[in-house]
Amino acid sequence: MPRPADQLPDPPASLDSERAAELTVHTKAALRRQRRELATSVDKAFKHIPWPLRGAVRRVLGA
Amino acid sequence: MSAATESRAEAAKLARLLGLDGPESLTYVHQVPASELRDYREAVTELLYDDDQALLQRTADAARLLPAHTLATMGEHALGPLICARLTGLLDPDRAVEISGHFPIDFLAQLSAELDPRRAVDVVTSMPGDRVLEIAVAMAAAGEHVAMGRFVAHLDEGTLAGCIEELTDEDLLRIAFVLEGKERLDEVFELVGLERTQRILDGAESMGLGEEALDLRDHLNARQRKQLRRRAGG
Repeated sequence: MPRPADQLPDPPASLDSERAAELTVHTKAALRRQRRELATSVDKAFKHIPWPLRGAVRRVLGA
Repeated sequence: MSAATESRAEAAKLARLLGLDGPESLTYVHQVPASELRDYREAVTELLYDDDQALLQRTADAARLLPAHTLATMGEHALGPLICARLTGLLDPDRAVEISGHFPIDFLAQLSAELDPRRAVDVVTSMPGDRVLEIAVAMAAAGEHVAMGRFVAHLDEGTLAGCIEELTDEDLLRIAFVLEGKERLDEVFELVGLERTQRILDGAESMGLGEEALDLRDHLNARQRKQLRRRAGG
């Protein structure tokens, strides 16, 4: 299934194409930053889980 | 409120959402109608909150297996404020409040700055008032006025009054400018009181916030404006 982010919102119609593209770059960067943080932080979080619970947490996460 | 002022306020909100250094990063959108900027901001908010929703939901589900203090440690030291903010609305509200009790105030302020309170209304309204007050002060110290403007509509009157008392005149003026739901601004400034409102307006120019003061005056109701005129005349 495509991520919702595959459909970036259209920039405001009143912006010229150059500025619209600039705004879209900022939006893509915000999205990339969030994806990067999520991907790295969930892995990092595992080391804080007590050993006996790690298997159960992994099963719920589907990891 | 002039169209340009309204657009400037919207640009500040959009810049905050996109994690840009400051509102000046988006000066080129000041000519765009505020309604277009608001629609774009809403669409980006949806985009960010809906992205990787399945993984976030599984993470929230997994959180049920762990004690609150462990989750707080993971949140602070591994997940970070942005991901914690995205998870907040997916947790059971009581559980989220319990976890928040283990976070230091500075971390909660950072988390709140990333949170869309509309997606975690039950959590926001369940937070103890004194905790909200501490978070508000920390957010103001960090210059997170745009984010604070999102929360005002979700605070009860007592908590809001407490925050108003603790925040500076400059904080109040900055928050008022970017407040979500400005139609309630007159109610908020009933709590601020006439004397302090006058002081805020009088001091605005020296704080470099003249446009914000004009905007505030425009949003006060007719009775409040009349009282201020009478005060200034008397």
